[in-house]
Amino acid sequence: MATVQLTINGQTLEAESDQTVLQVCKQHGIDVPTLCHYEGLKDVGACRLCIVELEGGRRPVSSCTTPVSEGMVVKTHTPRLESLRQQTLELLFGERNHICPFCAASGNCELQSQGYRHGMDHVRFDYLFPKQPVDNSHSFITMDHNRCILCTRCVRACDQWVGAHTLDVDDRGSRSMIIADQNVPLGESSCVSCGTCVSVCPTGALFEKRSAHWQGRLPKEYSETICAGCGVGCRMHASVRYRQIGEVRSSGGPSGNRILCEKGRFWSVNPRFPRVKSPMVKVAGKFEPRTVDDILAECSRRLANPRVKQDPSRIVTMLSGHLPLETIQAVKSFMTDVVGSDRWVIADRSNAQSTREALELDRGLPPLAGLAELDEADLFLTVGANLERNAGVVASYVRRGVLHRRAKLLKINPNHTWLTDWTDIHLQSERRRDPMILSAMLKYLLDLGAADADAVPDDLAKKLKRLDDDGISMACGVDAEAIKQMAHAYANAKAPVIICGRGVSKHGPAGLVAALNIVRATKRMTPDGRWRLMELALQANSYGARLLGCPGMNMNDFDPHTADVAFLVLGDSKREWPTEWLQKLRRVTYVVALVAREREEPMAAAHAVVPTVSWSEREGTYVNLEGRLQIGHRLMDASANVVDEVSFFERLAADLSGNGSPWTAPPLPSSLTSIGDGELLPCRDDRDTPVDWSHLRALVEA
Amino acid sequence: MAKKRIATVWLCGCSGCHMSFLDLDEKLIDLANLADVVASPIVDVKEFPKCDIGLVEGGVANEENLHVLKSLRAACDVLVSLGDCAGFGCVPMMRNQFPMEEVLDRAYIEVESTALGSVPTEEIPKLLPKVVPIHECVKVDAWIPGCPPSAERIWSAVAALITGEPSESLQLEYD
Repeated sequence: MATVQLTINGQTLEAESDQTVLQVCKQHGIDVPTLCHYEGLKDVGACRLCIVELEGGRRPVSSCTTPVSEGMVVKTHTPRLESLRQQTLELLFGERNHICPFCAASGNCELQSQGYRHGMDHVRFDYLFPKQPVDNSHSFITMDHNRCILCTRCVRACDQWVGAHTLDVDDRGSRSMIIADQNVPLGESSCVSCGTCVSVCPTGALFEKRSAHWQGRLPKEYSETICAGCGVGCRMHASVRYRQIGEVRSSGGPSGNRILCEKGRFWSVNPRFPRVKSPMVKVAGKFEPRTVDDILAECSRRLANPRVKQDPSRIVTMLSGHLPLETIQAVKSFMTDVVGSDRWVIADRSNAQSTREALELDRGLPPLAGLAELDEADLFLTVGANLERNAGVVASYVRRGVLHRRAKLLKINPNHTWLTDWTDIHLQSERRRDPMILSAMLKYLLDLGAADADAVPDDLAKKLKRLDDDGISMACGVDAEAIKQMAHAYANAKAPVIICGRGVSKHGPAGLVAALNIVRATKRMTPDGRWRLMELALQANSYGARLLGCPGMNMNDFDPHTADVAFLVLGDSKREWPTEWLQKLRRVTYVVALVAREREEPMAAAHAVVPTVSWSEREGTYVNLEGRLQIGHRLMDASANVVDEVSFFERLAADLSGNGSPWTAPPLPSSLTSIGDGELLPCRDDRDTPVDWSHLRALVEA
Repeated sequence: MAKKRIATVWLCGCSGCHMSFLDLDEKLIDLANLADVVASPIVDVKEFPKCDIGLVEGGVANEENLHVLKSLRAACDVLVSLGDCAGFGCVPMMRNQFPMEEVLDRAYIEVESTALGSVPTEEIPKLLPKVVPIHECVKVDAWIPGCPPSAERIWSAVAALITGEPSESLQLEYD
C-alpha cells in the first residue's frame, strides 16, 4: 500500500493511501466529532458532523468518506466548521421530537453529548414537530422514530454484521424513515432479534424494553464475560445493578465476531424460568423444602446400597454442556474416582460417541474450521443443522456470505427453517439419509474429477462408478440430479465450508465421516491445514468436554433399568430435553437434579432438587466450537441458599469416605491451563493421514 | 452596589425549575443580600415592575403565557430562559404532534378523571396551536438548560448575571 503525506491542522502526517481523513485523524488522536460513524461499519457521511476543510476545496467535506491524497491540507477545527457543526446539531434536534428528559438514552446519548460538546443551549431553527410512529411490536426492542437521526448505523449493522438486512431506509430527504422489511412492524418482520441495532444506535431511537426504565442509570462499569448460550462462545459485557443484568453487549470476538444472537443478548437477561430457591425433596408428587444435608444423607445412603456398591455403573450422571470445564471435570472425576462409574455424559442432544468415532478424537483434536473460515467461504453446505436456532451467530456468518460475497448456500435437512429461503439447493432429505447423500455427492465429485481419485482404493472406485442415478435416488430418497448439482457447486467453490449439525451425528458416525471424506478427498483445506468443516458443538462446552475423555454412555441408548441413582447436573441449561429422555429418567429409582432454574423436565423427573449457581455467578473455562479456550467471568456474587456443584460433590465424597481421606476436585490438566484466554487449542495435523473409506465401503456394499 | 431586581415566571412547565431554584437553600440568603425578587409565582404582582433580570420557566403554550412573557420582556433588561421547557419546549411540546381538537378532547372529555364533559371556553386562556420555546416569541439573552437545571447551576448563572463576573464554565445538561 502506497504511503501519502498530508497536513492536518498544520501537522504533517503519513497515511496509507486507502485511509480516509477521519481514520488518519483518529489514528493521531485528532478529535473530530462524529455521529453516523461507527467502528467497523462502512461510512456513509450521513450526519455531516465530521466535516473538515480542505485547502483549495470549495466547501467542507465529510472526513469519513474522503480518502487521503498526497499533499492534502486539512483543517478540522475552524470557526466556520464549528459554526456549521452547531447548526447541523440544531437542525438534527429540530427535525424530529428529541425530548431528553423523556428518553431512555438520556445521559448515554451521542446526540446529546455532541450538543453539550458544541455548547448548544437552544435551537435557533423552528421545530418541525413531525408526528412520528413508535413501533412497539417487537418482544425486546422498541423503535421510536421521534428520536431517529437517520444516521443509518442500524441499517448498516443489520446488513454488514448480522447479514439479515431487515432494516432499511424508506423514502427520501426529511421524509426518510427506517423501516423493517417492506415497512412492516418490527415484531412481524424478518428480524432475528439479535439486538445489534440497539447497541449501535447513537440515540434512544432503538432501545431495549427491559432496561429502558433504568434510563441512563445503568452502571458505566461493565463486566466482561463470555456467552454460555451455545458453542460459539461470544465475548460480551454486561452492566449489573442490584444483582440484575441491565444490558448485554458484544465485546467483539471470538474471531472478530461483533454480534450476539437473541439467545445471548435477551434470553440471558430475561430468563423465562425462575430460580430454584431452596433444596427440595419430592414427597407424594409435591416438592417440600429440605436442607442440602438431608439430600446429601439420602444420596450417600443410596450410594452405599450393596447393589450399587457391587455395580457402581448403576450410578449415572447427565451434565449440561453449558457448565464450565472445571465443573464438568470435577463431576467426571467424582464419577470415575469416587464412585467408580464411567457412565457420565454431556446431555446436549448430540451423540458424543459417534462424534468421537467420526472425528477420531483419540488421536487428538481434529483440525476443524473456525469462524474465520466462514468469513472467507464461497459456499456453505449445511447438513442436519438448524443454525438459526442453535447457533444464531453462525447463521449470521452464513447470511453475510450469501448477501455480500454471493456465496452459495446448500442445505441438507428434513426441515424447512428460516435460512431455507436463502438456499440455492435445499435437499429435503429424510432422516438418517445424510451419510448416503453425502457419499453420493462424493461419487459425483469423483466423476467430475474434483476429488482426488488416487486416494480412493481401486475396487471402491469401480463400485462407485457403477452406481447409477436411479439407484442413488432410491437409496437417498432425493433426486440424484439435485445431489449432482450440489457436487457441481462444491467442485466449483474454492473455499467451501461444510457445517455439520446435530442431525448428522445423531444416528451414528457415518454422516460425519462422509462429510469429512468429501473435504479431505477434495483437499478443501485452509493454508494452515484445517479442514473446511465445522462441527456445530451445541453447547458452550460441548467441544471442551471432549478434552476430558470419553463419556461412558449416550442418552439415546440409555436404559433406565440399569441405573439406580442419576445425578442431573444442569446449571441453568436452557435447552429443552426430548420427552423420551425424560420418560427414561422417570424410571430411574432416585434422581437428584442440581439446577439453577425450575425447568419443567428435570423437575418432573427429580426426587430431590438442589439449587445451584446461575451462569452469571460462575467463573470458569469454556472451549468453543473452534477449539478456542475462553474464560467466563462472574457478573455477580452467588445468591443465598445456592450451592456450587463442585462443593456438593466434595461434601458427598466426604460423607461416603467416612474418616478416609476425602476426595477434592482435581485442577484442570496443564495442557488446558497453559492456554491463554482466547487462544486456540493445539490440534493434530492431518495433512498426510490417509482418508478412511471403511464407512463408504459399507454404504456402497449396502 | 445597588441590589439587582429579579423577576421569575412560571409558564408552561411543571414548576420543577422553581423547585430547583428553591433548592439553593442557604444560598437564598446570599441571594437576598445581592438581589430582590420582585416578582415570582409566589409574589402576587399583576404588572411586572421594572427589573434587571427575568427568569422564565416553561414554554409558551397559551395566550396568557405569551402575554406574561412579552410583558416580562418589556419590563426586564436581561431575559433568561430557565430549564428545558423554556429553551427546547420539552415535554409540553409533545402535544404538538396532535391536532388541537384531539388534545382538548383528550384533556377535558376522554380522560378518565374528568367530570366536565365539554371543553371549557371561559376563564381559561386559549391554547396556542403549538407549544414553542420562548425564544421563538421574544428575544432571549441567556439559556440555562436542564430538566430541571441543578441548584448549583442556577446559582452560578444567576450569581454571574448579578455580579457581572463570568462564572466558571457552565456544564450543559439537558436531562
